[in-house]
Amino acid sequence: MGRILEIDLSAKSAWTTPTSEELIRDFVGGRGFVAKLLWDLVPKGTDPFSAENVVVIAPGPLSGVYLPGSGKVHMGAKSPATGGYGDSNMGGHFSPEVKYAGYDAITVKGKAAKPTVVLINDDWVTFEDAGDVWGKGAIASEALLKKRFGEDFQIATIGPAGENLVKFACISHDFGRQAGRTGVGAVWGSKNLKAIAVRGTKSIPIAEPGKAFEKGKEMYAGCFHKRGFETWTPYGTAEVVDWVNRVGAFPTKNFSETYFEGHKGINGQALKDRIKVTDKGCFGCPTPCGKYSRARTALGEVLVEGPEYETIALMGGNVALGKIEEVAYANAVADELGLDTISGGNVVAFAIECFEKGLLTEEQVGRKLAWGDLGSVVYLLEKIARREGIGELLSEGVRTASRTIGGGSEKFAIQVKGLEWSGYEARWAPAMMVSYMTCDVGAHHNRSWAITYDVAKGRDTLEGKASRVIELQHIRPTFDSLGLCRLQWVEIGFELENYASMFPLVTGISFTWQDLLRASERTWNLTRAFSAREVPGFGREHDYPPGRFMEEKVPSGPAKGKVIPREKIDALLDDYYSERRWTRNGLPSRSKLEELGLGYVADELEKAGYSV
Amino acid sequence: MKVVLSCVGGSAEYLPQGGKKIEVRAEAGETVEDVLKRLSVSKDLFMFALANGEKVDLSYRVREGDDLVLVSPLTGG
Repeated sequence: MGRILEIDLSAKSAWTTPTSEELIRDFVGGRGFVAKLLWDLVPKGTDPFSAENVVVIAPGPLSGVYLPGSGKVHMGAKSPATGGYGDSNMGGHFSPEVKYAGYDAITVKGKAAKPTVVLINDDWVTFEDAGDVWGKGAIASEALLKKRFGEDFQIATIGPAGENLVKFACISHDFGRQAGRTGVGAVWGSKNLKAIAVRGTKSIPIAEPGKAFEKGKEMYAGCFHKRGFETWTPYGTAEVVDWVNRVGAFPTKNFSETYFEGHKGINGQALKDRIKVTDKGCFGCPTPCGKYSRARTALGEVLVEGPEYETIALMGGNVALGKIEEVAYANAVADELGLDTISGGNVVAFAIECFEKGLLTEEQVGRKLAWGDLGSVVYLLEKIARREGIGELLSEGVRTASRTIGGGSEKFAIQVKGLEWSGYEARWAPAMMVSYMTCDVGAHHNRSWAITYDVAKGRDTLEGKASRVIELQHIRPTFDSLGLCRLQWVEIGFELENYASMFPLVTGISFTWQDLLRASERTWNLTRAFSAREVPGFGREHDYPPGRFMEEKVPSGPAKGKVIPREKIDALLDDYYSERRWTRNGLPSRSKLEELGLGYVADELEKAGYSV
Repeated sequence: MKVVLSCVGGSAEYLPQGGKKIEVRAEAGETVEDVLKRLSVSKDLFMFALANGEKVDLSYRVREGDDLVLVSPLTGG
């Protein structure tokens, strides 16, 4: 066990407190720490862009330890995109560096008087001027700060989008890894926090170092001996593009369609054959999914890490770009501006559809917009990041933009809770649909991904889907709490029990996998309660998908004719709430909260006027 | 004829014996897809297969003694 580093930007001060064993037992680390610390430290009703909002950065208890994929860090804050609980995670090398500096978590509150880099050099924390990098790109800034402070520092930055409080601004690290979702980058910007640079030279305290080392070796060997483990590394996550089209779930033209005719031009093979330079892995990774690419387009040439599947889906199919080079170019532009490519692709697609329908005019936009036009995509991304012209409205995300634009556009503002939808269309995949609807941060896939469950159990069947989603919502975030990448489990079938047996060897706490899942359920209930505490009238209404998915049949492709009407959505929600022992309005019940040791949360919800 | 079948990744749970290596029967001229059909397993649970280490479509015609690994989708990105 280490310490929690607390930073106050207003006072330019930093101090540490010991990490309590109780905190680890209840919330494990990583995402669990983010949830608990936000609950405790963010005053109710805080404006996400005020000095009172708190940034929490948390590796997990297994981050930086010798085992596969131990390089993930969680970044949280009250989300400016949703007004509720917000977090996002990233790989790279930041997470182990924080651990090697001696910290289980970092909290940042207050607001710096001027643009600042927080420099953490083991026990020393200083506040450095960021005037020379303010206004510069996220990746360019990382390069400049590496030169200034040295290669030994691991650096996380924001780009112009974060500085300008764009509600889907990301945090960038390692020249192309991002904590992309929920607008955490904009919270950094609101605090004048341009970057955090960290260097750690200490050891991580390990309860049983000899046994942990042997277990780590066994885990690496286990990965390397998995049959077929090496097959997808050459293509990365882009490999899945063909399959998602085959099953009719690929976001196409703002999710109006689910099969992109031009997908062969943006699939894994195209990436490998036409733009890939080499593979890139995060800390401790046996199966690197990152790709460095060089792409030439009519607008110029870029070097970029990516594109990943999500970027290909949202900045490829969803805006109808059919050349991998053009997707890579849009990816590079978004990365440098510090924009989440998932929300960014959604917002651009939404704007193009509004333009096509006459809800946005050439005069309002400043140019014509068209599907499959890289110029339209880049133009909008730059306007958004700088909040110029039409970018001012679009920088708020599709939910807010549709409320202003009107004309029925809210039906094709593809979001839940204010967070734009990631790369799997779900009108013919009820378990995936309920995964998106109930994800605690909004329409994101990483808590539960269930399309193969839909395929295996019946794509029109509702029965049993909510239960499976709940099970996944506890398993997948456990990796986020441990500070690990889950790709070795989901991609090569590396057994979950391995992680459970490593946990006590590192922490000295004799948890089983079931104990970890229990902590994950506790965290899930707490994040839901956080959103209820912060968003007035929170409940079932915040779990519905956009009208497009409930009212418009898929027009073509493998899922042609499919739609998921509101009564089916309600049936899924009823099942889900009932299985979770939540109220019919989707609030964690007092009995469930008390069972999880969260009676104090029930008290707060009742004080806020909820019946739990 | 007989072929050996196994699976890498998340869809293993939908195969007999949790995707562990099994020997299955196949007729001459059958594809991987046909083999899956006989096992009542949807082809849409897999991206493609490896036949003796080489990447092949599910329309690949299996041959006696083939070592087939079904590759699950990536579940994220």
